[in-house]
Amino acid sequence: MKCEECRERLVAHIEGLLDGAAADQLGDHLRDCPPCQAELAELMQLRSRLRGAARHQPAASFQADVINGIMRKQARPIRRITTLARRRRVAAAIIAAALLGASAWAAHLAYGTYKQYLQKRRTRTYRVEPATTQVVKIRNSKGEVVRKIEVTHPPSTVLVHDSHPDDKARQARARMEEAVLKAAIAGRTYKFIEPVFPPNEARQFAYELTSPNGVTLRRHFYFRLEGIASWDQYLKRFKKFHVEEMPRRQKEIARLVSQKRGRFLRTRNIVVHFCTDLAADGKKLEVRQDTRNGRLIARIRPLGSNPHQEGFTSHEMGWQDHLQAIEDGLLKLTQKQVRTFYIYEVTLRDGSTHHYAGDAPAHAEERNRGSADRVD
Amino acid sequence: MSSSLTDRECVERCLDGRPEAYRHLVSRYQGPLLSYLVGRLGDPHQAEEAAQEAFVRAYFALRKLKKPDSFFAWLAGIAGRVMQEQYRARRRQAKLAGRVAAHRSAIGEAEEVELGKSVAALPDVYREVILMRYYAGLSCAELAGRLGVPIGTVTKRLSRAYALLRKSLLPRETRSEHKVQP
Repeated sequence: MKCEECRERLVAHIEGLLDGAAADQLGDHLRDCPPCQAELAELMQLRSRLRGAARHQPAASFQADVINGIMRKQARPIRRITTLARRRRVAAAIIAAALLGASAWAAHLAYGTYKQYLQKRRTRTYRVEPATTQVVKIRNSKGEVVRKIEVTHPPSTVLVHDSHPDDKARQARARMEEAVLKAAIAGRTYKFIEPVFPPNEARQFAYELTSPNGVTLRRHFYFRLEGIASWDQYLKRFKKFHVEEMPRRQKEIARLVSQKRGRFLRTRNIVVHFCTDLAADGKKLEVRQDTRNGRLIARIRPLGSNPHQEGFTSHEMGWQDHLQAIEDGLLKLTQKQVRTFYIYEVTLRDGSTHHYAGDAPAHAEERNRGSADRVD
Repeated sequence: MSSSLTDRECVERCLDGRPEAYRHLVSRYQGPLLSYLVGRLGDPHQAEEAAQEAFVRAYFALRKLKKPDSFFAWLAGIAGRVMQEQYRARRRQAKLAGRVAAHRSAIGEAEEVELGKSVAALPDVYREVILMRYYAGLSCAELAGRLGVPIGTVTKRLSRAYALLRKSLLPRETRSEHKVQP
């Protein structure tokens, strides 16, 4: 072996990537060649210097400081947003003009695909009505209007999340729909029907769209707001929202549940752990552990809130990541409670059955003991 | 403390509206990034400040990240810019305060700083492999997977990076040796 060849292979040798024969060959050469030995020694020295340089560990509060920094930056004054919004509106107007002029074909493509989608998957409805002013009605859990807001600027971000993120075709459709929604918003041809706060109580969110080629569509969304913990934040960050579709099956279950058409099955005790590590952020992490299978379900809500009125949906703040954080030991569970849930079963039109946890049934104990099969 | 999520998954989750995934990236790369910055600045406090700012900026710039598997190399690039900004700001403050120029700390001439500067001065391709191999602690096989190149390419890049590092370290050290000699 020549020195040149040896030096080419030195890194692979150091990293232990050479197979038996090649390693032996290199070893033989190194034994007899002092310059190559010196080269190897220098490389090893450099490697140990590099290893030695990568030894620093930050303070314990480093991660919390970074998260705080992000939150502070997110909460910068609205003035800048307003300026940005103004610029964005100008940009949106230009884009909308371009879209209206040149995207009839694209819109046709989107809606054509959408029609196929309707036939294959589920019914989605769009309604289109030109609108220039928005009046947003905020409803509480009983459906009463508690506040009306007049919104002068359209939302700037629309995200459509399909329920099966793995399905690329559906993702592509979602992107197209998102583009159509953005175009409609940029052209101010939309109207909010009924956004509801708090987000986990949102029953329905309807868009009305005018497409460039005059197609009339209405769409209902199940929606949630991101990172909104109070009324003030809601009003300030009204423009940033997240739209998530409520699956048809879930709607049917919700309807059956509201009509109390479930069959009471049994009670289940759930151990609830609480984590107060997020208290500094004004939130509370509640983690349930099923006593039967040990499965964890996390839920985030503002401190001091009533979970039935102001709570956040379980996936609102990335609960899976919180679970991961608990497993990683980044979050500690500090309190514990045992709660009783009443499990019901509903049968959907397609014959499938689903379980849900509801309120205690009248004479719960009797039913639980005697006639568990009785249909409500 | 290690998380099962890959860098790509963490970045995608953040972009998907689940910012908590960013904690994993922070906990994974806080040590490597700090080491890299200490190597360049010499001062652990300044390095930590720059590292925090880099993480915050990176969070808001995640959408611009083209290769989520190379998150750390990208983060190190941001950290380098943050460090330069902070250095300029400190120099400006020092001038305003009447001092002639910001002093380079005694530790600034230390071996570690020389090495850190040499790493920072490497071309992107070579800096990336050094950072990910030594500061982020990835193996060559993992590196090849992340970069989407054969393992032979990784060893070649490492070899070239070592050669460049030795070249840039050598003259400074010989110079300093000359100075030490009376």
